[in-house]
Amino acid sequence: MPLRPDRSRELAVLTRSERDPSRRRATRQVVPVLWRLFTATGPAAVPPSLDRREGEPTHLAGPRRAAREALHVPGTVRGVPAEVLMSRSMPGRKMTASPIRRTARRPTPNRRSCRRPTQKFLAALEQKLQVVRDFTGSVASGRTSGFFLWGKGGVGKVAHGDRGAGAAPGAVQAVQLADDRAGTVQRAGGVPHAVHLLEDIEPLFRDSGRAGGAPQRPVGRPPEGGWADRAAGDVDDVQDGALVSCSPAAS
Amino acid sequence: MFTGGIVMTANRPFPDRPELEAVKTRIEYMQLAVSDQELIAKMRAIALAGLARGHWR
Repeated sequence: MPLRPDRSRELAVLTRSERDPSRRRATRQVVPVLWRLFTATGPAAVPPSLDRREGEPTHLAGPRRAAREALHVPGTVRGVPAEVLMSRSMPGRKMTASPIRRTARRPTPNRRSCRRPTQKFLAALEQKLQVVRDFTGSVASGRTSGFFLWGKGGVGKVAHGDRGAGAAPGAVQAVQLADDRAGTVQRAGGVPHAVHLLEDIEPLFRDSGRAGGAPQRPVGRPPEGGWADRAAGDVDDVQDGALVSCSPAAS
Repeated sequence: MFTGGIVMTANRPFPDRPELEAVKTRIEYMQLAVSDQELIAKMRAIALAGLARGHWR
C-alpha cells in the first residue's frame, strides 16, 4: 500500500536525521513521543476508566495523560498541560510559573462613589470664606464703612457675606440691583443708618442714575425654609427698606 | 447723613475710573477666587452630608 505524500515526506526527514549522528539522539526521543501521540488519539486507545489513577480527575486519565507525561519537560510546572508550556516557552527555557497569569482583581464598585473631599482644599476654601465673613461683619458692626466683594458667580459671595453681616447687631437690608424695579433709590434715604447689602452692582457701573431696586429683606436672618430658599427665589419675607446707592455711580 | 454701611457684591471688578479708584481707598476691596479643586471638595462635602430640607433629613 503506497504511503501518502505527506507521510513519506515525514519519514524522509526522519531518515535524514538518523544519518546525522548529532541528531540521532534527539530523533530517538521524538519519534516515540510522536508515535504515542498518534496512537493515543485513535478510537482504540485505552479507556479512561481503566487508566485512571487514584484521586485523579476523570478528564486527566487515559491516553491524554500518557501523552502529557511523554511531553513533560523536567523542571516545568506540573499540572499545566505540556502543550501549553511548550508552545509559550522559549526553546530550552524552563518555566517556573504558570503561563496563565491571574489578572488584577478589580475593586468592588462602591455605591457611594463620591470620594471623600480633600481636607486641604476644604480648609483653604473655609479660610477664604472666613475672610469674607470677617469683612462683612466689620461693616455690620460699624468698624468699616463699606466692603466690595467680586468674583465668579456661585462661589458663595452673597451667602457668606449675608451671614457675616447677620452676626453683627443692627438693621441690615439686602438689595439686588439686577432686578429693575423703580423707586428704590428714591426710598434710600428712609433708612440711612442701616447696613445695606447690594448684590450685583454692575448696573451702577453703566448707569449712574439708576433708580432700580429689588425686594429687600433683613440680612443675616435666614428665610423660611432655610438659606436654600433664597436661591430658589423665595421672597415671601420681603420687607420695605431702602437702598443707598453706591457713591461713585452718582458722581 | 448716612451712618450705615454698604456691602457690595459683583461678578466684575471696578472699572478703571478715577472715581472708583478713590472709592477703593475708602472701603475694603476683595476678590473671592475659588479654585476648581476647592469647589469640588465643597460639592463632595455637601453631597456626603445628604439632602436636608427644613426639618426633613
